[in-house]
Amino acid sequence: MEPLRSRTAKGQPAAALVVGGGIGGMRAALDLADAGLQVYLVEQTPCLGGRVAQLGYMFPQHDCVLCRGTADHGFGCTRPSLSPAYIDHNRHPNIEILTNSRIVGVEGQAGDFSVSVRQNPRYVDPELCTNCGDCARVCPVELPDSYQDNLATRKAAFKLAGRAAPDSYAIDKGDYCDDCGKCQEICPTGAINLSEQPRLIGINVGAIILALGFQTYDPSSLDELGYGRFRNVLHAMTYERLASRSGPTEGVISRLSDQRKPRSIAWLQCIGSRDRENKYCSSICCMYATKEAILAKQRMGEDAVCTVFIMDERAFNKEYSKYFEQARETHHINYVRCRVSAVQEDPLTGDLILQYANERGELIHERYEMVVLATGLQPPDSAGELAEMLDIELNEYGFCQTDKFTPLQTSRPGVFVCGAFSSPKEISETIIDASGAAAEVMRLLNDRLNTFQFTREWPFLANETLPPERDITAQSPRVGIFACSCGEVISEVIDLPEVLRQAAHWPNVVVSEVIDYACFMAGTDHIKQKINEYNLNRVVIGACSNRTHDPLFQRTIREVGLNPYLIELVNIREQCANVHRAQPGRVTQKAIELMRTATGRVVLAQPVHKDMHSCHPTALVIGGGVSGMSAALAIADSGCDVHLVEREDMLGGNLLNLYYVAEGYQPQRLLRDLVNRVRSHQRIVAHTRTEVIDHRGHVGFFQAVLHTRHLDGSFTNTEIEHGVTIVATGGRETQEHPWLTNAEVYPEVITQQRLEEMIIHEPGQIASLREVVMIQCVRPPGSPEYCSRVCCTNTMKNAIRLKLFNPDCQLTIVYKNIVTYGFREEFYEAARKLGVLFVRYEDSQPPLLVRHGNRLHVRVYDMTIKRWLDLPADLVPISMAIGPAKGANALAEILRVPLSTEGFFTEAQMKLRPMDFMREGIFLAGMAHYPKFIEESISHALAAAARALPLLSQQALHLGGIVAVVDPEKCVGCLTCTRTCPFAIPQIVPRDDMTGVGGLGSPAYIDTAQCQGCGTCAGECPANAIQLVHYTDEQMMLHSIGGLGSWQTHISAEVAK
Amino acid sequence: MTGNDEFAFEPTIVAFCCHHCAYAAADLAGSLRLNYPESLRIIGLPCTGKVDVVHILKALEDGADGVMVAG
Repeated sequence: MEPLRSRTAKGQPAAALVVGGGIGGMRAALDLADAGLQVYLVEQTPCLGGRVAQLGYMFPQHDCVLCRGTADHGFGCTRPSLSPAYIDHNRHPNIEILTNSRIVGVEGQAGDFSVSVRQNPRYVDPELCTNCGDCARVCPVELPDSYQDNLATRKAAFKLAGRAAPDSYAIDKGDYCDDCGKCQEICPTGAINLSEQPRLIGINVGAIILALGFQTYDPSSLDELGYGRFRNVLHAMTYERLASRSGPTEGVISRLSDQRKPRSIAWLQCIGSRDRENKYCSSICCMYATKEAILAKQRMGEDAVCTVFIMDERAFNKEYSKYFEQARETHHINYVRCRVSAVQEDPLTGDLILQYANERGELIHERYEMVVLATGLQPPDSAGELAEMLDIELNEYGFCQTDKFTPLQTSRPGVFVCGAFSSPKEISETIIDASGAAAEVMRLLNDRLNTFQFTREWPFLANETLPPERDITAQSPRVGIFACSCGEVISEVIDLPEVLRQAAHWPNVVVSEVIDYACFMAGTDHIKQKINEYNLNRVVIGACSNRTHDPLFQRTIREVGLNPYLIELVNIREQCANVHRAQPGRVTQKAIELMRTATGRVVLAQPVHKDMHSCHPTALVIGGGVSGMSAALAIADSGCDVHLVEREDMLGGNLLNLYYVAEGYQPQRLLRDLVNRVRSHQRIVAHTRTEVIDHRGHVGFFQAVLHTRHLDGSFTNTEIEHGVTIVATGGRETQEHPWLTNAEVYPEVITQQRLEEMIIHEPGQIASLREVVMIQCVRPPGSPEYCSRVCCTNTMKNAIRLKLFNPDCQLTIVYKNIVTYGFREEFYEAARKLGVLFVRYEDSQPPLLVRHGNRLHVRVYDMTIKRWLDLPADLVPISMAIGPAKGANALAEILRVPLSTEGFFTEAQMKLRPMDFMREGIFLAGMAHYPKFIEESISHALAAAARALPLLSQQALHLGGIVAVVDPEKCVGCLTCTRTCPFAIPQIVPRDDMTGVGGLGSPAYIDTAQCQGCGTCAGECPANAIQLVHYTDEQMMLHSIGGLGSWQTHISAEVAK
Repeated sequence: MTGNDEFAFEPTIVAFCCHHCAYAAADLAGSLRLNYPESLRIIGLPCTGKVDVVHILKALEDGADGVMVAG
């Protein structure tokens, strides 16, 4: 067995293993790496990205995954996405990616596991692969392309996706490969070694995170739907590839039978979910089918017919209800509530005839040109084998078994789980789980955090010390120009000698050379040598993409003491040679122009430095409910101090009023446990009866004022300093409804929470009930409509209890959609089995309360029998909407963070950053984000803790760099910057040391520690008082060389001289 | 484009592209070896919010036939 470099501190492994390189595994690995632990990320395919890499768009914002950074398109997106730390040349120094690998053995215990990993050969050295694609071109073996869901073919020498991490080809040496060796022969860099052997790698880690993901249901066994027999019946994943811009049709949705664009498409929901085989709900299909239908409308025009055959609309997250409404109202997508019983094909046209019973019970036959099966999620293939190897329990459905109050722990200590392996989940919940699991690992390995240090001092990640920087400010520019031939990828299209011949004449150019492979060690060494030889202080490199190679070349020049901003990388590969092969004559001219502008720009470049700050190793957690306490404990257990602020007299929040949960666990025990641990923790100061009334500063160094009310009526204000803030202010069951506020008119109407109290404390009363009608989805008049997510399960829980106490009671639930997603479906089924009746209503005809004599009746229009019913009721428990906690508005203003239309706090990005705010150093957890179950709140709280801990435990924060700078002499105080900044950072504050135009006392001030460097203020400032460092007007417009659009003429003139 | 070169006007377009999305998309076009006219000039920016009206006017003044802001 070949041991990896043993990276241990005090003899113990300061390392973790993440199994699964999908979006969850990638997120968990990043958080752990940021906390200074070594991470081994094991992925069984040749590249990271997993399932999400195959998706073109994410609901509900239709952010294309393209700019959100997944394997399909590279990982370069810095702000809204995961991280640029998966780019090959900027790889996080603490992450080791093991592709083509599986774990084959695990021994040891929490804190000290020995794991054996088998790595199958890739046959291509990623360090040497330049992505020229020659190997794939000569490879004679054609195979179905699984990435394109077999809609296209690929070679045995292949790259899974256009952009991948690692960004390299691989050879698929299955039986079909006859070892012809052509790829090895043609590879210009000798990267291919067909005799590579599998490796057995031994890894020593303290904890393991399982991020295995899911597999989609195979509908072949459902004969009646015709999948596999009828070509125009598609698997949802196939449709995703057709609709993706990086798919085989570049986003053109066409039928497989005749490549014609379908004019009508039907989606069939719950395929492989909510049935006898798989009883659970797959949670994501309602949303993704709606997304796919909207995409169809957008691509094929609004007159295309899109119908979704659905059971319940399960849109249970922020903005999701609105998304459904938009689908229905704006895009006219039809939703039909039924299961389609059979699909027939018209053999002449390939059209499909759907047979179903509509809501009136009439048998309908309807023709569609395409049918998409919204297939459900299943446990991953490897689950059984892995569970056995790891000795962890699986649940009855084959997913990883977890407990409600420890949702990220498996049955084996030290082994954690995230994402769809524990239950069907969407992207944002997977991300929350992943960070949460990382927090569990940080807690477990708390004495080993920050063992492997690294720095963000430069625009690239580094863990080594670099020589001191040369001071070049007094020197005149000395530019070196290097053009990379990239084997022949660039040089066979662009006449590089001609480019350099011209470049030699440009002002300030000292040396110009062609390099064979600039990105290889020999190339970077050559550049370094020339910098020293010619005393260069600026460098222009014509090579490949800035997004993949900026970090490499910035590091290269920094290694010989040049500031990393004194370089311009010109993308003459992806944005010139590769795309203009058809115009051979003019492509060289364009390369010359690009190089010329870069040279003009680099001459104006100045060194840029980030500011170093230390982080105050204390967290402020606002809200003392289950989320706040869980976050506080995770941070405190990991060795940092916490101020926990609770407005009420007691810690506990909503948990104080929760007596039992559907799954049978005891929430009061959880409450006692959390409160005891918080109260006795030496690192937590719990401030009850306290609110935050002021909050200022930036990540790493915030100051807040805590306002505490004492029992005698007096109050104190305490000032604290802290490095991060976590908002966990929770939510509340709203009460503002005429049925509740007029208790004397409707004494029978109570909330579900009150019913729960009655069930516990007044069982006699419950036993005497004859008829009960529960009404779902009641919200305060005038408030926005959204699904409160937890009420349906909560209602099932109470209904089941009530029926068990009092089986003779006739219990009816009046509902719009039953949203018992995931494994909660079993409670819906249990309630039905106990004889609970369900009556569906629609918004157009909401239920009413009427009184016949003394008896209260719920009047409801039954959608199934199309008739008004009057249901007598002794008790009417209603599910009121869950709203944000009171005071969320005021707190949002104090923290300067946004709220959603529903009044909940708005995260930085719905899918990929659900626990972050745009404002750095402030994080979000629990019901303050959206209504959540206990287990979801705990995961969210742990996720927030995982984002906070790396900041708190780091020795230095580097902030600033490319930021907007105000020239106070020019500022007229017009407030344009304060209005346009998407992060609300510019402020007009009186400052003694600054005056604006006309002696203005308060020019705009932009805190460099907070500025995100987008430059919007600089673009908008009417007085031109703001410049973005490194993108100044002069650097943008390049007056000296003739500016933006006239390079061509200008250069021709210059050459003519 | 039609075969009649007399009418084949190929405009010079300056594209201001957000480094995080449109610029990345242009990269992907390169990785996939798609083809587009060489008269498109891409200028990367940290955010399209950075584009100043002056930059657009300057590009037109300097001879661009069109300006695209993509992000």
